[in-house]
Amino acid sequence: VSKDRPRDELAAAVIEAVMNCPGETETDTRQAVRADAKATVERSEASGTLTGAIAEFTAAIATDARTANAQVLVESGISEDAALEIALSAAVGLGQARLEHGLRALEEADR
Amino acid sequence: LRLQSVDEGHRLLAKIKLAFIGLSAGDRAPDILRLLLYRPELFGKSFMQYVNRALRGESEWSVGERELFAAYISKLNRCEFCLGSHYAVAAKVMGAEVVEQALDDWRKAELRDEVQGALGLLETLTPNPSSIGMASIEAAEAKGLSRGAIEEVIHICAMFCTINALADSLGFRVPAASTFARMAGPLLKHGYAM
Repeated sequence: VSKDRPRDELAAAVIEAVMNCPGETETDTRQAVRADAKATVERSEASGTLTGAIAEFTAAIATDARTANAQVLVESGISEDAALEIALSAAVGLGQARLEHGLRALEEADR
Repeated sequence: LRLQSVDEGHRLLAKIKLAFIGLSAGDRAPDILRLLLYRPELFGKSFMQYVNRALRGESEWSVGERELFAAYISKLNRCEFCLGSHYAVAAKVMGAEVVEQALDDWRKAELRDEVQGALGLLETLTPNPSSIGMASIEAAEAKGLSRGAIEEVIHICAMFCTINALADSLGFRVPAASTFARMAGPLLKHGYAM
């Protein structure tokens, strides 16, 4: 079924699921993590809305994922499901940065 | 895996799938499957539709070339799990020697111009997305890439930057090269659809 669906639509569906699927973290938190991870890899300014272990994890995964450890989120007092939602939100932000910049450059070259 | 619930907190059907895959592979089912099958509505289901479309759907690139792109992005991100997995699939299709050459120094590898153009684009887009501009696109076009082929490469970069970050932050166990090689056949035959 997915074979012929446009890639843009499938990429958007991933982000939609990670941001809005019912879970243990609020959509606002997931959006902030996604945006901050994306901003970090873009080398622009993070929102400043994240604090503590979540802010540290988001910065680490965006800078060098090998230094990020989702278990640290659990040790900071959040549940494992919440930690997974945070990790997924950051990861889709990292993908989105590549997608947006790549497609924007392609559009510019088309003009 | 660093999150115990992702490691072993699956629903019954997923547990059965993981057990069956583990038996078939002669090893523990890989951690990527544990992630994808845990609360699949959150990530696994939509992500694998995206991956299967990009790596196995209609394309201007061969399956082997797309697997090579996945391996190269994973190398740039220093993600050992994804590099091992997609190297094995690319090598099975294209031959180990040319894949190793491409990952080592694609400029010297015996690849068609278009593949070199794609790897050149990925070399910038993966570590530094905001530096991609018209010049990068024009360089790829000069190697013969169409607009559609470039768009495909960009999507593959996006999805592998996502999964590389998860593999490392969740602590995926890296199987032996022989296990990756054994899994390459089924991945070629069945693709990535869940």
